[in-house]
Amino acid sequence: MNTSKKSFTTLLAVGLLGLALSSASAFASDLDVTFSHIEKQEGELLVALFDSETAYGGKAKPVRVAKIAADAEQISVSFTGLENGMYALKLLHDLNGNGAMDTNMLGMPTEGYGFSNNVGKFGMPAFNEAAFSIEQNTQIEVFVR
Amino acid sequence: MNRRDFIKKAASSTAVLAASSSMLGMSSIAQAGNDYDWALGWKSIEQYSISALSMDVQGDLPSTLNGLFMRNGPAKLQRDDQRYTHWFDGDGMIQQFAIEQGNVSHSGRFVQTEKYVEEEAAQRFIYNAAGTTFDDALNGRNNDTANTANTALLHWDDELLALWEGGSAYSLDTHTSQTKGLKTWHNDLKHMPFSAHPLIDQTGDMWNFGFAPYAGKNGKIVVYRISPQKGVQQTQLIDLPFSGYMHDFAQTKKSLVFFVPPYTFTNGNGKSFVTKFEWREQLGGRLLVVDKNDLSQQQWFELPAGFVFHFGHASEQNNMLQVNLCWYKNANLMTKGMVELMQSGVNPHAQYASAATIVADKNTGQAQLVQSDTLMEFPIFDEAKVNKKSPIFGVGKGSANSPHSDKLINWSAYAGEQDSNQYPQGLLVEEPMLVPKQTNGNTGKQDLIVQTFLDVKQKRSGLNVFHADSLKQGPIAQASMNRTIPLGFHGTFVG
Repeated sequence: MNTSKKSFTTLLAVGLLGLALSSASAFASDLDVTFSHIEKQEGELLVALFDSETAYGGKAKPVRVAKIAADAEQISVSFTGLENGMYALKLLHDLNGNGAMDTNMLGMPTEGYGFSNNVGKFGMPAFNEAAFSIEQNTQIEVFVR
Repeated sequence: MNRRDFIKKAASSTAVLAASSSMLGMSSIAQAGNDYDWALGWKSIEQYSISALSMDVQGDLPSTLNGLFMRNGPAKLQRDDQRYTHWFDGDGMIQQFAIEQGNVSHSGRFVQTEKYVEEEAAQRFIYNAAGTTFDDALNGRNNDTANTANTALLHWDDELLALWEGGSAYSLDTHTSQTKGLKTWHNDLKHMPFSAHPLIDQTGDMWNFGFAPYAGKNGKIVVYRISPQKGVQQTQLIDLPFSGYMHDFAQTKKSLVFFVPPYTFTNGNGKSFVTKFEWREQLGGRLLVVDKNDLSQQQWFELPAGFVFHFGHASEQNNMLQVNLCWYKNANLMTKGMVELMQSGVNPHAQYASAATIVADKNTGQAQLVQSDTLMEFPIFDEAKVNKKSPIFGVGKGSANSPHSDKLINWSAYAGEQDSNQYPQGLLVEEPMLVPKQTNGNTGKQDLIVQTFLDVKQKRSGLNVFHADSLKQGPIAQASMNRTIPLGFHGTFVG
């Protein structure tokens, strides 16, 4: 299988989101995410990690974001220095570079997507469905639908 | 061999023709039910294609009948010990009967759906199907993940389409049946449900619908009008009163006609898409009539609870609309029947459909169901010659106790059963194909019916050719082969 691994560390966190990582000391953990079953090796994976229901619902910024070339069937990403707590992750496989989820006339996605816990079979899952705990360094797999 | 000799030979041997409906006593049909290997009709095909085989032709096969008779149906039904539980789930295979100058050859090829290709490489089922779930199945990406392209074929706008209903059609090469790929009519319509029964109107435009029971509050259908060369001209979303399963529809010159049965989609206990449907008798049924000139104009009629897969023709005059269909009292065939067929080749708990007519008065908003006593399914008719009395051909059963369809019928809404051919025991017969006279496929002077069969006693598959106006006289010709193919659903004839 064609795979790749990319690291998104403090640059993303500090540069894009302006979050200080100085607190990422004794209570900081890393998250390794593997996106699997990427159907088409084209476009980009847009990843957003949320640390609250408010942010997940779009009313605050994600705690981390990443934009990765979708050049393999399986791609791994690391987020470092995360405070322990509950998180949820959303993924869009943006094939046409418009930065948005394209849908058909019925509102069904026509581009790949995924959520932590691999939920979301019928529409956007609630935060508590996609939420997972980070108390130590953590690895998750997200199936790209 | 002349025709008389042919019929005599066929009747006196164990070949597959019946010269008359009186040849076989009804009780013997019923008793025969347990003696045959009916499961042969649901036997999985292993190889991805079946090479051409010249069939044995008997009788007078008209030299004026030339073309490709192609049928679609579920043919990959299991992989090792994994077997689909619902007949609708099998992967679609195109059975091609090439008829040329009195000769017939058969070949077959699976539609190379994304699902089939991926699962063939893995040598196991990877995804859940519409009516079957597997413990270790991967998540589906969209509606086309479960698309088996197994239901029907349509040759339209110089393209052969293998149709499913939950997602896109697949485009195939007309002559080789090789798969070109998913048919996306427009980006906004990607992976949308698209029924297996599009209708072509007098202008050559295609009408179709997609059934989306999961959309909106109570489910929706989307109506499509597509023009040759030009593509999609119109789409219309229509809210349903309840998410009753819809497989087919009918048209008049003015209207599209749908029936919504009280067999509704729930997010209840069912694991698969199919088992999420529940029969809710108390809802009754609804007839929906949509104005072709203004798709936002919709009229609803209340009807008794019932279930429909297939429609015959429809017509309307002075605001009185008449539509013919095959009516079931309930959805047992969809639920229990399809599962039983996959298990044993018989379905004792499924009721057979009867030919019926709904008459709807668009002035008063009242509709009435008129049921006949003719058992009938797989209705076909000459779309170029529809009037309310014109014949509908279909398959039926010589007796309600017959295990399977064993009869070819000519039925009319006003006159009932007009003509028929009763097949001998041990045969399963499939949807007839009408090849009208003086067309590309039939340059002769008589309308012809071509009907495939599976003889589980002789272990042969084949087809019979009838004069459409004299079924009772039996087939005029037969082509059969020492090869069996599982039963399918719908086909097309490309002359």
